[in-house]
Amino acid sequence: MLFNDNHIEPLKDESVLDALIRHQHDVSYSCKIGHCQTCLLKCREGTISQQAQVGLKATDVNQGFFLSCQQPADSIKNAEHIDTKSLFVSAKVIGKKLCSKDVCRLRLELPTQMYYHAGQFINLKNKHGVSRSYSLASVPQLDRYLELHIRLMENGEMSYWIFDTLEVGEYIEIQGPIGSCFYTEINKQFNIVLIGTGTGAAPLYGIARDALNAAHEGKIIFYHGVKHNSDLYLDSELNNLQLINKNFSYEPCTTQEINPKGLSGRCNDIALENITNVNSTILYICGNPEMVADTKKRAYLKGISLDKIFTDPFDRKELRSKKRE
Amino acid sequence: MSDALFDKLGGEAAVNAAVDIFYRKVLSDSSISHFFDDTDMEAQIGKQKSFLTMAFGGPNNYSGKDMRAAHAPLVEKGLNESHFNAVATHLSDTLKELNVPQNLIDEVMAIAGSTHDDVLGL
Ligand code: HEM
Repeated sequence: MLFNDNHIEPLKDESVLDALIRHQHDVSYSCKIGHCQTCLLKCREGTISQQAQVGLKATDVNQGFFLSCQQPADSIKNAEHIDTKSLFVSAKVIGKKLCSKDVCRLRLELPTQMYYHAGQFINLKNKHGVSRSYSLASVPQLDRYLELHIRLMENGEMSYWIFDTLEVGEYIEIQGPIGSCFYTEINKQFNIVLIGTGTGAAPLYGIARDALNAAHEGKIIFYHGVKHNSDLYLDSELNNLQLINKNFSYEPCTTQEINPKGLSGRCNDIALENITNVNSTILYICGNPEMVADTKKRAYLKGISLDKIFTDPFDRKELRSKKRE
Repeated sequence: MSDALFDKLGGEAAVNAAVDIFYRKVLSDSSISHFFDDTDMEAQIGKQKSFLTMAFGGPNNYSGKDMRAAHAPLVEKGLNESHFNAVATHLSDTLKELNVPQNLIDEVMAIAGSTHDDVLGL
């Protein structure tokens, strides 16, 4: 394979991305599961496999872009970097607020309107070229800004930079929107169950407000799972939503500490147990990848069909660099 | 002949009706679930549909060689007779649950059985 005109010898069953990393090429990537689109490359010659273009925009497909983490290297003869200027736009930081000891809320303003759904994600890229995915907690019909909730990860390059260095008034590069974890009005009478751990609550907060704004008729139940009470960083916002919407309820779940106003235990266990009618339930699950995969599987085995289960797993790279607790 | 079986069973609609029942059985069976425990459940459902279409005598492009290749990595992980029988049982239970007449179930099981050696790499 040729990459930017350099020779690459891929191993058997190796992805384009892994081959490039092994040859110490400077390529950006993040999730490595075909989700975040950080590792997009352009194919000059070769056959792109179907799974390497899942979720891409038609315009990207037409240009021969592919997800290098999902593409077997042996069927690509010649590939190159994408001019990232065409993928990223500059957004201005208009708000930065600490919501709990390790979560901060970032608000960004774009020069032109972006068409997105609450719950989709964008990639942020900083001055050092580090790129990470964050979900959108804002709703385009309600908010003039993009809102992201950033969790400070131990050794998380991007989150540290955002917490310590990035200031209001500065600019950051963004790519997106990406992803299919969002509200649709197809089943307005169905109950919506939202399960989020940590800042997995961010996309769910957007999805809940989007659904309420669309006058969703079924119940909307928001399970936010954290360790300690002080980690319930959306407590006042979600209590507020519950106060003004008859069909919305907020269930804070803590695992390490009793919450007098909430439930004790893992939020996914509690939520799954409380689902009664599997034929009229839509599920949104966001958080760390293991919890998301496990909950999705259990929900499916309980009888919820896969097309009613929407998920958004966190960025693995920022997770990987986290020390074990 | 086979096409006739596929049509008698109800064609693609029958595959769609069966796939969730079948895949839930397989995933709940701890003796074989590890073979199917893929994080990408949508992709797995697609493969289960291919499996059912083939077993139902429907249109498919799989040769014996393809079946060998598709299951070879599993054989490396220890796929054996007992796993094959477990899958076959889930298949026939699924059809019973859907009230498929026994003579058609027998035909399906015969097709599944004919792949035995290729699936197990014998
Ligand atoms: C009973 C006869 C069987 C038939 C006719 C059959 C048929 C198939 C077919 C058509 C595919 C799709 C191949 C592809 O498109 O890539 C497939 C994949 C698969 N089969 Fe079977 N199969 C059989 C038995 C089994 C057994 C006994 C197991 C394990 C307990 C098994 C596990 C799998 C798995 C895990 C895949 C997906 C492999 C992947 O992810 O690429 N199959 N099978």
